[in-house]
Amino acid sequence: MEDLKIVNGIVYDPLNGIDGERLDIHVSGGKIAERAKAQRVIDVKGMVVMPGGVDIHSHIAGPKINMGRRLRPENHRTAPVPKTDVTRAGVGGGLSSTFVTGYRYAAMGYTTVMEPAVPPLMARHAHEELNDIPMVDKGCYVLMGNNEYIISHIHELNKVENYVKWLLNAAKGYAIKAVNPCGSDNWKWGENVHGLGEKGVKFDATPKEMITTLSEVNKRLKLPHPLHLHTIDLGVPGNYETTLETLEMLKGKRAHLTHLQFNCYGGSSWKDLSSEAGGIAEKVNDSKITVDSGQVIFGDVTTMTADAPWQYRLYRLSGNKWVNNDVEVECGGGIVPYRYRKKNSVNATQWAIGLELLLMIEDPWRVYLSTDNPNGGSFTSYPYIIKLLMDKKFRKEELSTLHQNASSTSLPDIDREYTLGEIATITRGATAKSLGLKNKGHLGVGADADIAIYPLKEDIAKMFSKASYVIKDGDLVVGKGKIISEKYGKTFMLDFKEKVEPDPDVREFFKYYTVDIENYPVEMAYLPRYEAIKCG
Amino acid sequence: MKFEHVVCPLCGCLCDDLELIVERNEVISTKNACALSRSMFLNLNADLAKPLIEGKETGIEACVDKAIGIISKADYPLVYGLASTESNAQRKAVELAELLGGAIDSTSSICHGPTVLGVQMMGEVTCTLGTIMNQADLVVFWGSNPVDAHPRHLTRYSLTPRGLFTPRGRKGRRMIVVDVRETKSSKLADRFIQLKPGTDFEALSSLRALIKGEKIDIDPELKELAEEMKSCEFGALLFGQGLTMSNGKNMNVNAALALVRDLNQHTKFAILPMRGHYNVTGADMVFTWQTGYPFAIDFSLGYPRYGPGEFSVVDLLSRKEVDVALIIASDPVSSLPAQASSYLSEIDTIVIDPNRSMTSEIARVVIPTARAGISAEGTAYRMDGVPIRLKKVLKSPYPSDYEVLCKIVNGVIDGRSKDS
Amino acid sequence: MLMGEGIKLRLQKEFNVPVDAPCIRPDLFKTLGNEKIKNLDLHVGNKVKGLKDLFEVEGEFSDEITIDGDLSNFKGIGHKMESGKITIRGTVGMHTGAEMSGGKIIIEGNASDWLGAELQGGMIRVKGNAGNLVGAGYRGSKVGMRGGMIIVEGGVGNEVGALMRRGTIAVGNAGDFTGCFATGGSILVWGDTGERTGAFMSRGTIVLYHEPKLLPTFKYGCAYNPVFLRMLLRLLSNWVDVDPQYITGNYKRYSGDITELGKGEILIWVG
Ligand code: SF4
Ligand SMILES: [Zn+2]
Repeated sequence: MEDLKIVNGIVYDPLNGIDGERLDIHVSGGKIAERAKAQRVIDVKGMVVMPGGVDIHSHIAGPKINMGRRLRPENHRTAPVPKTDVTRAGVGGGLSSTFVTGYRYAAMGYTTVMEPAVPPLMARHAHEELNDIPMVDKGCYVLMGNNEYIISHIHELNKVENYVKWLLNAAKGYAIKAVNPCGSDNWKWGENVHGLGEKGVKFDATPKEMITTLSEVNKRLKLPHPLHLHTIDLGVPGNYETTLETLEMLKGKRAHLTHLQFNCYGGSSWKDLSSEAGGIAEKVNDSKITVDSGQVIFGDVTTMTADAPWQYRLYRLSGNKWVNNDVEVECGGGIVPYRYRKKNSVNATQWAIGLELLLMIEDPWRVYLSTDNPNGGSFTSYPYIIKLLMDKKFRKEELSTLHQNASSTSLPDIDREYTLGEIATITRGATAKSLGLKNKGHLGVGADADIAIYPLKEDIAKMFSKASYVIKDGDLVVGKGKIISEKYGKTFMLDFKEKVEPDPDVREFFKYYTVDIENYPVEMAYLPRYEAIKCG
Repeated sequence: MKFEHVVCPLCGCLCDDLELIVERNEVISTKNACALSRSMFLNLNADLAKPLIEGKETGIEACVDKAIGIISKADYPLVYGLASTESNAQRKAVELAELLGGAIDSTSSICHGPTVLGVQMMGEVTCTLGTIMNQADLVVFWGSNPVDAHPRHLTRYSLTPRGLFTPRGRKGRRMIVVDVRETKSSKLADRFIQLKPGTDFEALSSLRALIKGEKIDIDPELKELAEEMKSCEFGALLFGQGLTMSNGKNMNVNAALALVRDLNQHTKFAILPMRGHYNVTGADMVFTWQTGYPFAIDFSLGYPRYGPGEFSVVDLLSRKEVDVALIIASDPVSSLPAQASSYLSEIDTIVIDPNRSMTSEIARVVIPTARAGISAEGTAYRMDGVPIRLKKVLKSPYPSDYEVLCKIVNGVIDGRSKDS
Repeated sequence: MLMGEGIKLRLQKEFNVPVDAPCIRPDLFKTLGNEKIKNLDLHVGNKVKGLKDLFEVEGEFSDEITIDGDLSNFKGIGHKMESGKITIRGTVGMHTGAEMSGGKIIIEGNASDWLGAELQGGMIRVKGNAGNLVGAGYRGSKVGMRGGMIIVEGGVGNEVGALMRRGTIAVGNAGDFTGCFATGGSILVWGDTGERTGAFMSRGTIVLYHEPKLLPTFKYGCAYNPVFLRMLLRLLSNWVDVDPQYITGNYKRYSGDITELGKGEILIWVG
């Protein structure tokens, strides 16, 4: 690994308060350095230099995305990706194969990606796939919101704390994820929950209890990332009330509400669905909550969530092929292909809501760019979304091609345009901070030398779709938007300082599993390159 | 020495509760293993493969070099097998096929390939085996015979165990078998419905019509079955090759998938294929995450293409399209139709396998390996997709499938850089 | 542009390794001179070869191609073609004319699987037999053929017209699952059909001239002489011998598949 000096770039490093300054960046030993001996100097005059992108929520690895890939050969057939001298072959439609996923992220200047929904029983599978995703560092969130051990011990906080800690360690996960808490468990009996106070079919825990318990445990364990919540009633017209209630409940607490766009709907049916993004944004503005947007992109997508009853609903709505998988004791999930259409009133409104959230939540440190890849659209659409955020005129043009209902949102009246500094915030600085990854998302001395360098272009989308250079851990890996050398990143896990033993109750509970507790925890063999982040 | 919680690398049940006593590098006793498993563990040293070139014993290095030489010259090689090895070997095998511009296929294409095609058409409403254990009050085995093919399925997962919401175990569960003949499994069933051979599709279609509330004129037994399926609390349909390999193949699976999907408008119902080899599911998984496609994949254009019926083993061999075959942990000569398998002796066939087989008998090169799950660690995926780590309990003088494949991949790359 | 007499390709040697040949399409050839045609790339197994390595090439700048030889292992000839004509004087491999949207392909021998798969328009005629999945949709697709016409004088395999939405297929004999998952279009089978015709179909028409074994999920409606069919048969008589009694005769109408939408129809000629 040679030392590098990147000179003459215009640097955006919001975590260090640098907003478009001409600065030189030194790289030594894979880290940002005060001063490097610089055997190699890269002159990036007139280009924009940012820390490598950090994606906080993108389904890239594990049983669900892979089931989606398996389900959709018709999607891959039109998007073959040939091998090159340095890269592997694969497919690159909305459900890219592992290698292609890594290459595409890197080409856009992203160097860290988090897989947000892993059933702990299948964690080994997720790690196997993560190990086949080149170019980026990665980690995964562990599904817990419908875990029947937690549900049945919901009032025993100490037991839940012990279990969560053990489970995070067993799955080699990075954060707690809850998806439609208690609702997906109800789906094991063909039901859902409606409202935060509804009890389950078989257990009497409520979504409210689950959310508060997990957020409390998250706090007690001092996890680097807050509870990552896909809340209840997702995709249901009129769900904004539940969302407001959820925000109220979490007021003053740390939590991350993911792909919030899907939870900002007014109206009472698919016909009169409207945007309530304004009220939600206001509520977010006066809380500590962070969110990501969950932008929808027009065209063909494959929806996949651990929100199994929602996926059933979408199957009934679309008539498309449907996958459901109920995982013993832990969770469930579903997959349905879907097409977002410009001229569909609901889809057009959804599109507008995603942007409303990004534009109306004032603090860029608390709202992040996402498509909930591949649910709302592919991560490869990020440059298009960035352009929408930075270019009011382009936003209006796009809006004029959509079903008129998109214009009855507040979007047409919003004049805000993101600056490059704000883009750097919502795509790297703030996401790294929310993840508690101290060496990511900035270019201060000691940070991992993950650097994205973009050509300054008239067309913002073009600028962000192909980085001129990307440096990963000090190595030049992308040139002119192409992979020039393949490199594998590390996996983030948690360091609890002491050994984590399961409570005897947990051992007892394993009689409801078909895998022995001794064979359950993911071995370190599945994390050939890793960094354990200290809790606390 | 005693090994506990050992994973059985034999059938798709992937039982992980075995206990083995090992002395002098031999398994001398087993606990919890079924008869199939026990006889495998107690006879591990029978029929071990030896390094052979043209039938003559030689060193393993020479065999690997020979294989590299042959495969590098191929115009269109086939990489096949992979159901009985671990996922790292499967990953390397895909890399090799890609590197060579060849085709790769797993034994999926001769057992549950039709299942994959069905899923790609209809989707799949499924669950893990533990969900059946915890919730199912009705299990329907269709064209599958667990007693013989998956001996511990009924006792570990689907019939007798007591789960979270099934405290009465066997007593709280109805078992129905639908098959064309009586089997050991049908004898255990509360209801056995015997179909005329080759009429599964009609039966499944009729059930779907009944579930939809249509009136049709059929066997009253099927009408009762439809009622039972609709009125259970949580049902599971577990199907085998009796469905996938009989008249109608993937269409039978389509109908079964659609039936179970439709049942979810009335109750909860799940469907699971009874996959045979212990890691055939893993082959599907690995192929899919690396290429997008689960089996029957071609790389001749430099990118993956999917072609069941085109790039699948039986078709490539019977049409004589490939010129070299690399067989990994599989015995196609004993399992493929003669018209396909006979071609393997006409071309350069290379076998990587811990054991002797009919295929290794006809192969030009045989590379013996350490058996995954016995003498090599790695991941296997249970029939329901649950990944479990295989253990190493015995030492082997040979490298693992993965290590051999790494050598071959590196050898091919080295050879090319020397050429250019 | 100068139009020649047509371009003739003569296969030089036969071998088994599959050849990927989507570059053999008239709308491309008509823009190319002889030298360029000769140098078009073909994938032969894992090697890339020039067209001239396999074929003797005559003629240039024409949108008519005639090919001589046994092309059983040649795949994708005429793939996505939009215009022009290909005549194959022999047997041809898989995916011939797949996804084509215009022009004509005549095959004097047999064709293999996926003939005219996901066809959009244009015409394919086969004098011999064809394989499985004629005019079908590719794996996982929701829609197969969207237009155009496929006529096979001999028999075809299983799943002819699977997932069909529009267009016409007429075949001598057919295997099982004819017109499965159809959502429109018309399929005519002059001779015998296998089992499970119309399985999963929701719309579309399948016309049979020999009494088939139908699925229990098709229901008898009435017997009549459908007007649209008279017109379709008259159109088809341009290329095939249509018995006048087919035009005047009555048809039993079954509707199904009742496991799906059930608005598909199977018409069986009763004379
Ligand atoms: S049932 Fe299958 S996996 Fe279990 S012990 Fe027997 S052979 Fe092994
Ligand atoms: Zn998500």
